[in-house]
Amino acid sequence: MSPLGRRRRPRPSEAVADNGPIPAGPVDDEEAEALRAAIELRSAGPAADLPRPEFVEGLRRRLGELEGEAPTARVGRRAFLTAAGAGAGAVAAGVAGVVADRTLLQPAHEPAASGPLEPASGAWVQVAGADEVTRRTVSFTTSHVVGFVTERAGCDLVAVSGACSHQGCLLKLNETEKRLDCPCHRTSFSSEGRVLFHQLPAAPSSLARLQVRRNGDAIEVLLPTGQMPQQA
Amino acid sequence: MAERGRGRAAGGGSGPAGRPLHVVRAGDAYADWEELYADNVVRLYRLLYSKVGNRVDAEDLTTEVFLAAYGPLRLEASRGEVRAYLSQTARTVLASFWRRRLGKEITGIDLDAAEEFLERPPPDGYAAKRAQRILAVLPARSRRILELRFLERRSLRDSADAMGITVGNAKVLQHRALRMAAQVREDES
Repeated sequence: MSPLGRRRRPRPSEAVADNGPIPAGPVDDEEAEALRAAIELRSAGPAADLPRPEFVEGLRRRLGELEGEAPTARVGRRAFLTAAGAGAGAVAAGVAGVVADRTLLQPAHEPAASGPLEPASGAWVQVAGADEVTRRTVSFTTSHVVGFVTERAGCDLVAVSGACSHQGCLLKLNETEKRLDCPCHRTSFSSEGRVLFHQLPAAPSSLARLQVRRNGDAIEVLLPTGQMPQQA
Repeated sequence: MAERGRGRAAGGGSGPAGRPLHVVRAGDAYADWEELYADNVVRLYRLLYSKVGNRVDAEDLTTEVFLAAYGPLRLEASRGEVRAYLSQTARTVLASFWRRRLGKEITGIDLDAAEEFLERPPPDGYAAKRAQRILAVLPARSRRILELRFLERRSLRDSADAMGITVGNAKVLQHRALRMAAQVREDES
C-alpha cells in the first residue's frame, strides 16, 4: 500500500527519489519533465553516481565467462601466444582461438605513418559540404586525387588518400565496419588512415594524410594544381 | 561467443591463399579485455547513472552496453575508437531503454559529450553546482524536501519527520517541488 492508502503505479520521478528502477508505463509531458529534474538531482549527491564494487566485479566475471575461461587464466595464454610468435595462427585453430583473436598479433615491425601529402604547388579545393561530413566519412574524387574525409569527435577533420599504400589500388569505404577496404590484397585502414589489418608479408604504411580545413560551409583539401614540379 | 569473437576480431579468418592475416594494433590499444573493462566501466556507469538517476537501471544499462560491445569491439582499436564505440552503443541502448520503459525519450546521449565524459570523467559531485542553482530559486519548503530526498538520500518517512509533516504531505510536497524544479530547468535551457 502506498502511504496515501491506495495502490497505484508510482510515478517515475518518485521511484528515482528512492533510487529505485523506473516503473514501466506511459507518462505525460509534465511527469517527463519532473522525471528529468529528478534524474538530475539524484545524480548530484556526493558519490551518488559511483557503482557498487560488487557490481563492477560481477560484470567483470560475467564477461570473463563469455570468453570461456577464468579471467586469471588469460594472462598465461597471452604469454604463451607471445612466445609462439608467428606460429600463433596455428594455435588459433585450437582451444585458445578466442585468445589469439582477441590478443591479436603485432607485426614484426610497424612502418611509420606516411607524412602529410604536400603538393609542390597546390590549391584548396572543396571536396564536400560541411553538413555532409558530420560524424561520418565521405569519399571524394578530383582530377588528381581520390580520398576520404572524416569528421571526428570535436569537429576535428581528417583527410586521407584513397589509394592503398601497398600497390595503389583504390580503397572502398566500408560503411558498416567504418573502415577503408583494399579490394586487391585484403588490407583495411581506419578512416584516419591507420592499418587495421593486412595479409601481406610486411605491414603497409599508413595512408598519406592530406591537409584539410573547414572554410565556411565547405570542407577543403589542399590538392595539386596539375603542373608537374620542375626538375631541380 | 568464441566463434563470434574470432570472425570479427580477425576480420573474417584466414585469406584465400591461406596466408595469415595480421592485425595491426593501435599504439595505445588496450592490452586485453580486462584492461579495457577496468578503464571504462566506472566512467560508463557514471555516464548512464546521470541519464537514469537510479542504481538498478544504471547497472542494467552498463551491463547491456558491455555485452553488446563485447563481440564487435576490436581489441586492436585505439582508446579513442573504443570510447567512440562505447558512446555509440550507450546511446542506442539508452534510447531503446526509454522506448521500452516509458514510450518516450527522457534523456539522450550526445556522442561528443559522451566521448569527452569517457575520456576525462568529471570529478565526483560535478552535477552538484547545477543542482544547487536549481534548488536555490525554489521556496524554502520545496527546496528542503528535495535536499532531504535527493541530496541527503533520506527516506520519505525520515524526510517527513525532519520537516514535521505527514508522509502523505511530504509526498505531495515532493511532487510539487519536482514540478517547480522542472520549470526552473526549462527556463534555464
